[in-house]
Amino acid sequence: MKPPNTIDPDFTLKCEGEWVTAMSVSPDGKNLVTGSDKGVIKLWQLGKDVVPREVKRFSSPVTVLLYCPKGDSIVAGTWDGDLIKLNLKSGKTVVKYDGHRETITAVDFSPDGKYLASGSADDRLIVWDVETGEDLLTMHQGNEYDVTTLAFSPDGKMIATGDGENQLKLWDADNGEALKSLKGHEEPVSQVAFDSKGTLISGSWDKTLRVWNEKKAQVLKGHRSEITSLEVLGRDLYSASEEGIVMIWNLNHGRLTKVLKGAKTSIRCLDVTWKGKLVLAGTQGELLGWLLK
Amino acid sequence: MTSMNFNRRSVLRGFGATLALPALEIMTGQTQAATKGGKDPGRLACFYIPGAINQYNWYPKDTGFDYSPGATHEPLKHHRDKFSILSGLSHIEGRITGHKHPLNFLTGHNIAETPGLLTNSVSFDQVAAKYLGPTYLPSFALSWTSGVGAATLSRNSLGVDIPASSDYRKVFENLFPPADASQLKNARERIALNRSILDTATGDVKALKRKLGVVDRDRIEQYLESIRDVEKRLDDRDAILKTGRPEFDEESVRLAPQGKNSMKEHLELMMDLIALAFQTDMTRVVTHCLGGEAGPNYSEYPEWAKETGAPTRGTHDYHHKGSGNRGPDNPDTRLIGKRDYLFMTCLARLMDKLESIKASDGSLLDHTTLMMGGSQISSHSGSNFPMMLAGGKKLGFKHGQHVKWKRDERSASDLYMTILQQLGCPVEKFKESKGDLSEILA
Repeated sequence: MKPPNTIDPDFTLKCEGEWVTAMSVSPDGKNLVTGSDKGVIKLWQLGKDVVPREVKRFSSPVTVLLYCPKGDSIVAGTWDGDLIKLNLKSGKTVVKYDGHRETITAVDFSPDGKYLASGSADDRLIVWDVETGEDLLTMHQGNEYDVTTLAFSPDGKMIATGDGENQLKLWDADNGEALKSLKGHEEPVSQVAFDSKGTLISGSWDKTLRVWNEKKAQVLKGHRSEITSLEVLGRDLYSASEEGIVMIWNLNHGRLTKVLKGAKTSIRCLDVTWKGKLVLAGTQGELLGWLLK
Repeated sequence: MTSMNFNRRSVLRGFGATLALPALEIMTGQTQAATKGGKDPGRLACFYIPGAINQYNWYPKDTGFDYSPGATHEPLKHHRDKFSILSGLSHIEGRITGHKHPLNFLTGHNIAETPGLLTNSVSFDQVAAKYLGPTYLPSFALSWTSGVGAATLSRNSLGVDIPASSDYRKVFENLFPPADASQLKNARERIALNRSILDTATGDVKALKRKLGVVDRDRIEQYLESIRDVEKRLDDRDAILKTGRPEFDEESVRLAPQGKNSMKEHLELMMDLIALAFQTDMTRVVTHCLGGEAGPNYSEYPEWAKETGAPTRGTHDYHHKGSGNRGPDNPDTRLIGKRDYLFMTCLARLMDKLESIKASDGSLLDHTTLMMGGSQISSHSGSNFPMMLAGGKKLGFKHGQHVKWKRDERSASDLYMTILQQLGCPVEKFKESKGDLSEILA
């Protein structure tokens, strides 16, 4: 079997004295927002900026960031449980999603962009009206081990969540009914995502990735430490870990194709843009970028 | 001036004022027994450390009375002769792994022995509660969240969870007989109603018992015993209702946190209530679950992360990444060390308070056994408990030492039985105990 290509970063942006804890690339691929453990959200112009613009400062670490589909705003969540929609131009909060009691751990938009799902350390999953901030559905996870991650299915009918009790759950996005539990990981589920066909993929502290095919889960092994981030683009799966490595897997045959090195410590967040040609990772004091051919 | 008979109200009356004064150290007072010229009974408070510990800072390198305390226990240095570090204890037959340790920490029961079925047995604090009364409340359970399951450490004689509370005001209000006459009347009526319900239930069960086989009869006998416990507690409660609410400086009791989601503040508020409960003798037994295996995400964690260089994670993840053999310089391990240090700071503060309260002989600390520990060194492990015992000089404990037993040589049940016996409970055995821990006895 052909060994995977090992690639060093093409550029490094300094974020002195802070961990890059969350990031999101704009839908047009021109801008990047990053959040830090110091509670600061910065806006970068991809390919241009070395010095970013500070957009917002919270009193606790930024834990999640996600560009809104229109690209003019972002959703930001914090350790303290704040969850807001922020206009990037004005830097003002335009919607406050008021309901979680603890750290926001994950967010995702429904495919039509009308709904926002948020997970929290308060063990609840809430679906919000993006524009009004009304909480439409609240799902209680059923254990005290945090909603650690979540993702809307491509058809918007389901939401997948992971938890600290090593399980994934599928929820009906219309009525909040718990549809299914998936077991197999041996440690907390840290990441979930769907591919474009609707296949669920998960990453865990057990160092493995699982592709939950209809009949049997395919287990992808290669990471030597806990999975911290996951992205799916086309048939490529990007996974980052505590050991500071990004792995790129081909979902058609489950093979590891590339290994992106260069992070000195744990990678806390990851995003992929420019049709897979730019991979970005946030770590301690640095933002790393790999330009792929 | 001594601290006796000096409280904020007496000062206010003296000055004819209506303003509240800040709580002063001199107002620490004395126990009910000391006030009435009686002899102070023993008290017990058990604290559970969730997740895991920073083992590098917890364990002293040496043993015996000349040991050098680890960095975690530095806040207790002025109480050096009033606490001991106990290493090597665990539940041997009741060993479990995973996230369920709070369920059997004080019971020693192997809750995993029947797959798919969660069983449990009495927690040792409840054995103490059975014998340490009568008090208005036989015991109370405190926690980081109100509820049962992993939120509480206390299980009754049937192994059923005793709900814990994280609500400072509710704890306070439940701790004392009502001050208001109409509420007092309601409380008496509730006791009468509960007694009548118990009479009916007992009558039905006694009739049923005659028709059962041996195993079921034993089970019913356990049930009847738990009812008799409740009956006795109702009698005790009724008697204390008649004597009324104890006099103390109610206005000085802080029942609302000032900050948002601070672990330190939460622990201090709860520990102040424990000191108050013991001083007024409303209860003699308390359990306190100091946190969950996966939360809360207290506001101190991000600050500790900045200080140690650890990334921002959830509490559960810190428990995982901060434990085990990752080395003393690992940022997550150092962060857990800061949490452990806070636990000890709060424990030292509680010991200071108890020591400042005069008992019939010695201080309230001398009549109180404080046990703080957890089930895990590394996250999910359960084979070597980080444990410590403090106070209880008048109960016959010998402190100022690090005692280390070989793995599986002695069980946590041995410690629990030793504590029960020193508290004067007439028990010969608790769970898998094989004898007392003579090393910690004077």
